[in-house]
Amino acid sequence: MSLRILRLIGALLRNDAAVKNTNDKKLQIRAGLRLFAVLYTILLCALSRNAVFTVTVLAVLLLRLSMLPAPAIRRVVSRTVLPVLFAALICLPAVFLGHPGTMLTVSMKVLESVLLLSLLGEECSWKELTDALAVLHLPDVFILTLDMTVRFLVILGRLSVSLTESVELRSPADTARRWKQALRAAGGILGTTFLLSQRMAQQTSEAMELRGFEGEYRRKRGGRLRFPEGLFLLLFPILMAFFVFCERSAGAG
Amino acid sequence: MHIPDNYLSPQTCAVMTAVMVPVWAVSIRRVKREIPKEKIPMLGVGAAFSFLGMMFNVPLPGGTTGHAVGGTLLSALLGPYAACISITAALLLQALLFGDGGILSFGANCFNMAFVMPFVGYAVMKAMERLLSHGSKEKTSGRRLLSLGIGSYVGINAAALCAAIEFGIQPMLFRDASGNALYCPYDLRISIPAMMIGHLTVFGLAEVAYSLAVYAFLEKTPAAGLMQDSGLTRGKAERKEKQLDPQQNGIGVPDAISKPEVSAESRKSGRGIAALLTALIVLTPLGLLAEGTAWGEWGTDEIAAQGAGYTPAGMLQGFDWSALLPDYSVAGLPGWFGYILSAVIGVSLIIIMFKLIGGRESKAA
Repeated sequence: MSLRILRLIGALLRNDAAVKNTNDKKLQIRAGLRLFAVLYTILLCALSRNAVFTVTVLAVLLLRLSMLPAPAIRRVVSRTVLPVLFAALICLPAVFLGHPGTMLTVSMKVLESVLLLSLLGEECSWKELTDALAVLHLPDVFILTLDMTVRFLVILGRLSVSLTESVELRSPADTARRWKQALRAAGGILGTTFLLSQRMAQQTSEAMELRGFEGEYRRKRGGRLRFPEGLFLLLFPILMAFFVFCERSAGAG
Repeated sequence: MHIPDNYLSPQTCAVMTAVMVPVWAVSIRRVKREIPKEKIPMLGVGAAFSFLGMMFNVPLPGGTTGHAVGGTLLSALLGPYAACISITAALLLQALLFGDGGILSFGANCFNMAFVMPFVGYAVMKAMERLLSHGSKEKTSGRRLLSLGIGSYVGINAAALCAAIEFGIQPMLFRDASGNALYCPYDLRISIPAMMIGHLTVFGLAEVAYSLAVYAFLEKTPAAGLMQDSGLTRGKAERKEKQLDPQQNGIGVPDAISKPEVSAESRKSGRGIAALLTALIVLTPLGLLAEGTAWGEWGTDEIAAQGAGYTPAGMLQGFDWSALLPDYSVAGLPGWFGYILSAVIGVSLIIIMFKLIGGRESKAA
């Protein structure tokens, strides 16, 4: 497992203190609503057949992004660049076939989807998101598997990085030879990691039993909707109305 | 004042870009050296003000339009070097995304609006401040505003004169076998009066009004004090002293949130700036009330009807850039909505860009 993946997972689990500090608790929207809004917007963007809706959503997302602190913007941008470039590359033949708009539309939709998810990741912690998944009545097994996978990826990632480092340190040779040795040791590292993961899985299961947790997530009652959340809910009919307006004007055009 | 592509010959564009390269290099070096990294996003806020100022078109009898740029305003707020970088960023976005100003003529537009305007405006403003103070070191708000007003007026007119000369020398230098101009068909006798009459009257006053209105608003918020002594206008010793003092370094940008321990004062100033930017974004459709195209910004299909009588060959076969939101509009949406959308996209991208640069600077430090 490379350091890159570790960093990615770390970012996923990170509780961004800077963002949390700035968000007024009174103005915070619960994660379930945010997640639903993100999925809803992604769906509408995917269904839209003209640029008007897509450009408008993009403008709103860019405005939200510009309000984040610089480190958060850097994280979001770095996550966004690769998928957008990949989408543009895949659609490149459309340009040569005389449909440059297709490449632009698809890239823009990818950009919006990734931006939406990245912004959600910046504004909600992983714990809040798993809570939100539970509120959305996703099966417990699915949430538990997702939760465990992400957590174990981090733990095992850290472990394999430490093992790789120790193998490298114990073989002081020139770079080419060291790489060969490291490759030879890769099997050992993976094997050790696998054995450790089994032991950890056993320990986790015991810990769950001790704490009386059987993999069933409690659906927290969110309480009454607060005023900012009520305003946020208005976003759904407004988005739908704008989507219909854009589609109709595209059809008329 | 945004020179479109194909109005200037590629040679002129190359020379203007070559002239701008050292200006950008020196400006970047000065900004890096003298502006604290926390204040880099403030350049983005400055660029956003300039970007929005350029969206407010003002009509002139005869069917042409013009706009404020805010070059001297940014010099007063951030210093001339930072103003140069900010306006360059705004012009780049306008050219790439909105087709306002050409890609090839980007260097020429930067020379006029990002170099001549802020530097001349700043020099005049400082000279006026000295003249009006009569040796007294005390700076009053009235004197400062008067100096800024005069600086803004001279700055925009100096930039307009440069643009007029760039337009006017084209038919002198580049002609085809039949004697027709290859690029801009208007010589100096036409271009200078055409550009200067508007700028000496309505557009110059629009620049003064915009600069004074924004400056007067910011002066009432703590942001003004934090912006105007940006580091480029003070002595080095004072600068170092200020840089060491964290109380003085808190800036009132929306990025204040990147520093958890921001003071209440800088948060207040951030809100003031955000409120002003929002108001300007909402008001941008006012620019649509001015009908017509600015002088020297006509399309290839329009130029023959503007007194030239023909379309120059260089324009017909010239470079054509398809912008994402041409003329700040979105096909299928009312003009006012497209204008607001363009303003939101432009301002957001500028702020994101400068926050990223500021972030990189702080990482490198």
